[in-house]
Amino acid sequence: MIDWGKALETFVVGFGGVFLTLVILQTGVSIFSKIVVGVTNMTKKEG
Amino acid sequence: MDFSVFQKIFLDMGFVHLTFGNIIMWGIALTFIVLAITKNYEPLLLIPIGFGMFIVNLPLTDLMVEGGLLWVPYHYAIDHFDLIPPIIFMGIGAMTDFGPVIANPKMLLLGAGAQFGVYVTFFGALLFGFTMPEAAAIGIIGGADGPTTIFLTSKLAPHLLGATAVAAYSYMAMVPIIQPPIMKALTSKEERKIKMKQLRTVSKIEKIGFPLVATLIICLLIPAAAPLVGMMMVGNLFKESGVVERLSNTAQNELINIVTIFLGLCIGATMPAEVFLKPSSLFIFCLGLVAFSFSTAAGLLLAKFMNLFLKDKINPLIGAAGVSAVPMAARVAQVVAREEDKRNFILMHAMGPNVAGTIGTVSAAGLFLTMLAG
Repeated sequence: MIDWGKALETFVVGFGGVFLTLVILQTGVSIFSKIVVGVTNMTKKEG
Repeated sequence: MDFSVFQKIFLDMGFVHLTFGNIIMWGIALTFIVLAITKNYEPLLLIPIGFGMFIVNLPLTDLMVEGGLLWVPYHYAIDHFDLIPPIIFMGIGAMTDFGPVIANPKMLLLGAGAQFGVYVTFFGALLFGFTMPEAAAIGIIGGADGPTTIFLTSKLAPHLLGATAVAAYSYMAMVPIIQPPIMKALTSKEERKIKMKQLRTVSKIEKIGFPLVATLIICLLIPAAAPLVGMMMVGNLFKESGVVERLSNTAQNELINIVTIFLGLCIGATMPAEVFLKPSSLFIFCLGLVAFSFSTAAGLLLAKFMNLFLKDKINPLIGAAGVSAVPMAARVAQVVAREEDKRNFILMHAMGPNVAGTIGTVSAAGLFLTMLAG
């Protein structure tokens, strides 16, 4: 007997979780890049 | 003269115990080996898998009984301790350039969208009567990522390991055949002609920082994905740091080659006729194809959806590269784009969703483990 409730939960949490993880990763990578580029530009100006 | 010794030798001969199933499996094994050699379909895996399948279907060879030659690496490095898939990921990490993802992080979303097929197939497998852990192991084939499929199946449904692994590697090899019709059906000529802006140059510091940032974020969110993500990112750190060339070379050459030999042979050896020749294996192959097709379609459609909001349009073909199969899926996107416009180069853009797809599949596997293991 298939537990469709659990299956649906696996789909929602699973697929949603993958999306959320990659959205957070995207945000993290964007922020990290901005910091690196900002610091690099600042160092260049000071130099 | 005692003839019983001749009788014993005769009865201990393999051909006495041959079954029709064994002969069918030889045919399948031979097909893999021939395809690998003549068509270059994933030869690094299909040759050892084919040979493992062949030798385990020679009766009385006992290679996969407890203590047998292939049982030992299978039991300790795949089934019990799951060592081989993470080591392969270390090699993959050492070979991967995350530059396109760092330059355009939006591509990570395409890697997530292309996991849709994994979940569609999860439901499909449940309808075919598979249990939930089995359905997850079958669904992950849609990620087109062999090591992740093996990693997840060995934890959730080890009895399906042979079928899911072979299906995953077969579909990875067949990317150039399966994907183009789906890509052409779901995009217009104009969409396939879209030229994308050149990616910015990514600094060395960003490339060194990426594996640390990615490990931090993914492992904090999905700890179960740590063995694969951690190893992939340490391999990438070896490469990008530029100071441990020996480690990087070892991870992407000798180490990955050694474990690939054992992985292939052991996976092949999990397919004796009595285990493999069941309707469930056929279902797994069909469902794997469904998973892979849905993942391709979902990646494409998500790219088209993103275009509704983006100022700089993306070529939707790169969405299809969101299934892992690195770098084959990205190359296929490039080939299909160039069929419309010879001067359209989207390969580097397609590498973004391609490597993002690997991260997406690992995340999906980690979430399946979190929800369904034990």
